[in-house]
Amino acid sequence: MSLVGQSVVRVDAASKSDGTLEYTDDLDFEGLYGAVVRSTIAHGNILSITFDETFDFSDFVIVDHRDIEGRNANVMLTDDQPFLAETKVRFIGEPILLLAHRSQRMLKEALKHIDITYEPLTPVLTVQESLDCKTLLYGDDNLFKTIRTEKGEEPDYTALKSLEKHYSTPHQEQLYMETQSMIARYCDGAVRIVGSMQCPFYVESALFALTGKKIEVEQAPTGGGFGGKEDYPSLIAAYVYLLSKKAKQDVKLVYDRAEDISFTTKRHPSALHYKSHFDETGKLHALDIEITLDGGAYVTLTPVVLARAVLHAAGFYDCGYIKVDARAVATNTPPNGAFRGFGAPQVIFGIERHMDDIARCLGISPMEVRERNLPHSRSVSVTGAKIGEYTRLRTLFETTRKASGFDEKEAAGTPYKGIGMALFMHGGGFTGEGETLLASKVWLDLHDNGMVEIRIGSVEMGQGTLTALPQIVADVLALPITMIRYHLPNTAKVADSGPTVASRTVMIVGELLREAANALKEALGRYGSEAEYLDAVRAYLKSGAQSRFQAAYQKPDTVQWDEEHFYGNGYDGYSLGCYVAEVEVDPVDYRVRVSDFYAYNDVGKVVNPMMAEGQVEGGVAQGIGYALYERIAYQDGKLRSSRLSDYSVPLAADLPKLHIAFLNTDEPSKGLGELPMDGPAAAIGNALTHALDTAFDNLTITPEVVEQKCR
Amino acid sequence: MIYHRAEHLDDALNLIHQHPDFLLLCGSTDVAVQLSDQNTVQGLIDIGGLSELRAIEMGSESIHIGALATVTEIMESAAVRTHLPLLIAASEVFASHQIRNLATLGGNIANASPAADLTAVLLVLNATLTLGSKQGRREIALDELFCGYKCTKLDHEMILGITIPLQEHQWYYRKAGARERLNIAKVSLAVVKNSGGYCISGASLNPYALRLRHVEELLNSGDVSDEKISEALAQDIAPSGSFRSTKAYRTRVAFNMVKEAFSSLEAS
Amino acid sequence: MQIRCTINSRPYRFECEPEERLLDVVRRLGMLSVKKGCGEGECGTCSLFFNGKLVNSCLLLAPQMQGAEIVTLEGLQKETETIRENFAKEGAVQCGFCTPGFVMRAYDYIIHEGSKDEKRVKEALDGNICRCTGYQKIVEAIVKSMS
Repeated sequence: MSLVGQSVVRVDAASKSDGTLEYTDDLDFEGLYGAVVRSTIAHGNILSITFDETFDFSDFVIVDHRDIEGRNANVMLTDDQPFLAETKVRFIGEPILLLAHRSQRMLKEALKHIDITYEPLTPVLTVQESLDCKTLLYGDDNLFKTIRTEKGEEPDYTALKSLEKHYSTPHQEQLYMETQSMIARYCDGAVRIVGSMQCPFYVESALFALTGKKIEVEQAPTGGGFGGKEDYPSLIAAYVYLLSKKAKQDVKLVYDRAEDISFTTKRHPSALHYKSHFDETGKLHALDIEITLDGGAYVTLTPVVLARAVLHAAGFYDCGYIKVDARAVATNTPPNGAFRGFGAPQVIFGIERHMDDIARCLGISPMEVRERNLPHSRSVSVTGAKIGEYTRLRTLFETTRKASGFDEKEAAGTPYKGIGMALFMHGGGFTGEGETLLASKVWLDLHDNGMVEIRIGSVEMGQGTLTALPQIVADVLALPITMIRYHLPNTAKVADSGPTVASRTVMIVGELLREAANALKEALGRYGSEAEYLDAVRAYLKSGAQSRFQAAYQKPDTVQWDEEHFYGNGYDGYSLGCYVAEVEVDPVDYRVRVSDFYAYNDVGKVVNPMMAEGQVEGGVAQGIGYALYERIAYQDGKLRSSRLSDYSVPLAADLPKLHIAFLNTDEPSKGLGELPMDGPAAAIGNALTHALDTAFDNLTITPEVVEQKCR
Repeated sequence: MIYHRAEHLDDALNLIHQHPDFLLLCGSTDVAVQLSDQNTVQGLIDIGGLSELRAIEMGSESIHIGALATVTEIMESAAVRTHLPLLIAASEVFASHQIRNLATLGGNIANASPAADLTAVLLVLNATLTLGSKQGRREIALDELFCGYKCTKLDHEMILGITIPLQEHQWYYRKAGARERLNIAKVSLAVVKNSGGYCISGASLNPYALRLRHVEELLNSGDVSDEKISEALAQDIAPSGSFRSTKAYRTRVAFNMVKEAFSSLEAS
Repeated sequence: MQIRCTINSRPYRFECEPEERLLDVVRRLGMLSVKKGCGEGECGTCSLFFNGKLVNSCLLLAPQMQGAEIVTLEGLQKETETIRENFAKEGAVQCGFCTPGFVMRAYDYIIHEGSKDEKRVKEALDGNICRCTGYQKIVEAIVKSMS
């Protein structure tokens, strides 16, 4: 029986549920605790740093930018972000100094005795202020990145109706349950990094810029990431490195929750402008879309978030002419970064709300408008590529529409109750030529006891990599999963299989592992029983042949991309989702309850159905939070909702039981991690618009917003 | 920071007398958060060991709840379940299970938060407090306790117990928060209707918990309309607007709750 | 100051500062199933039994441990075996950071309340946050543990 497709129990479930698995803060530690001294103003020049003379700083290790041996730049897509501010600060919370001490209490005390004075500059706190360019933060226009793409011919507008709408989406905090945590291990002048992270090789390359040396980086069991531990851990790894190097001891830095919520990256807020032209049947003829993202103080991953937003901005609808103008601006707020969905949830909210708005404008059903615009064999996407998924999308749409009883429920028109749909896609892997540039590699090592060891940089952070990837390898080799070894990665010991982001692990890395496993299988020749397998292994290794089997990413012929013109497929494969939300509004306190939810997905072959369901359930919960509960409140550049009592995420009682289905499971596996985050907010926005017959165009839809709409 | 543990009540009252600026520590649910926020706390007096203040006792005309009874203990009390279902209803949506196991009734009152869930309920149940100090004991009505935002008239004193008179009554309770459970009240409304008429209070409607006297009078008059409810509410409440909620939301929801309470209590 | 208490039925004696949290103390003493998630009583990852009641150990101060009986998941391995097996089998574990707290709450719920009604179970989880699973499989695992 094939192992792929089985709900194999997670290999790490036992050690996680009995509490014995050791996360970063649980690891043996004998050393100093680190702390970060941060800017208290949003924009300004540092004038002086004074250490209170009455306080004894002699047994503290203190680090500033002058302690950096290499470059003071966290190199991601650009190198504008310093590890430690030198003369200028650009957001409240920007790191300036690092401290370390044996006692955490003394550290707290010491922070009160450091006085930093600033020459304040006008802070740019909103997107509009940034666009006004009265204060320049970046280049000569405050724009981190612009993308413009246009496909097809403009139609004759004379006979067409048009609709122009603004939508917006806010910050969202990843809220992984384990806060950012990192340890530097000091040994004979060398420093090794161990910590909570998604991308050990990103940390390695950031430390390379910092030190000019290759530093060993090891992932510790990681308590959730959701994108929040994609690029941020590079900074905190640099901090423990610098402190450890100077102290010549181990140093640990674990953020407390308020620090984590206040200063680490969040989902980019967006302002979306959709202008559409359509005929009286609802058929789209032109879409003119403007996207503005708030990037925060530094570039970080913003350009690629923007690229993904562009590629998902028109959904997969058939439309003759599509134009997208996208830009990301600089503001004096903490840098925004990766969060599950990575630009897609924002624009899916835009396009899917807009499809319902077109239906409202014409007085027809939102199902009719979607059906009318489903792609066909000749339809092309926003980047001019054929939409090869057109039959899959239609099947998914029709199945979900029927299973959810959408049409009857929509027609019922019960007061304070509504139903809404989102039909959407998510591109798996890096955008454009990203996968080609990553050039991921995997190693499979064959041991003489027959064990096969997966040696890659992909991490487990809760999503199930440690189980799913061995399932794939064991499946090819027809071995029990217990014959496959896969440890959390250490950059000195594994192949760089790329970052654990972008729903790429099963789809891209899994495929490479399958390739390597096939090579291994071929090398061993035929075997039936496990005993025969062991004989084959012994015979093979005895011959002195290579025990390492490798595979490296090669761009499939079907994928074409022209970065300059933003033209081509965009992704190696798309997964599809069709989600239906039913909501009830309480007429007394305006609270919205999601009463029922259908999450139908097409991700090709499902490797582990139970874990896949878990991804959908968790993603939908975050999506419901994004739609209704989670609100980041800034006041003068300072975050007010830095506590969990103010940043409300859904609890068990807030969530409906989901109806989940996976379609088309004979196709190759596509990405799954992010897909379920993309649809819920749009489906809920549409359901509320239906329930109260007034448009809900801006997230977060708090009871206060509903109250306002009910006036 | 100085820590004192009171071994018995006299010990506690002496300590309070000596250190009027120290915080009383018991369930610790509010103190812990305060400690991480501020460096101004000079010292703590731990009264958690005063088991004599934990009891819930049923009298012939009242129920007496010791100040240190936890919310869970209140929910588990047969007497409270039988006679004060309103207090049970509010307790069920009070914070979380783990916090209910720690948080005490006396602490919820003395913390004097405008959002305190149980204070509003006790106000409409006409609760009186027994206060203790080195000088002795005194009784005051709960609505005499507060004098401003997070401010009480406790003078070198601590709350020893809460006495709730038994009476036939109907009740209404509703709490609006961000989600189903574990909320700081954006608004709550507690209403009791007894032989004397309506008693109404709520959380997060004023800088401290108050009875809504004009609304009570209006509902008692029986001559009720939407306009009149709005007018009476405007005289009784002054909710704040902050990043947690808006003044408009709180005002409107309070209005809706008053209407809902009135129609459900009149109908029954 | 010096504290004496029992943790998982064993006597302990140690020094602490008055403003230390119970959470930090039990972790320092080696009970690492107790995790720090928020430090303000919202998330439940630090849940343990304090004199028989499940509480957030981040909210209690170390001096309050004087004479107390404390039980962490380390001391309930046998009692929680079925629950833990069901968490694994039902897919209720993802990143795992919140899991010990949920197992503790599940155990507490099952021995004290025990209604299999899913709505009741969901309400009973009002002191535990999970960011990965969407709770559904946790609820299923708890219900299954009562059958």
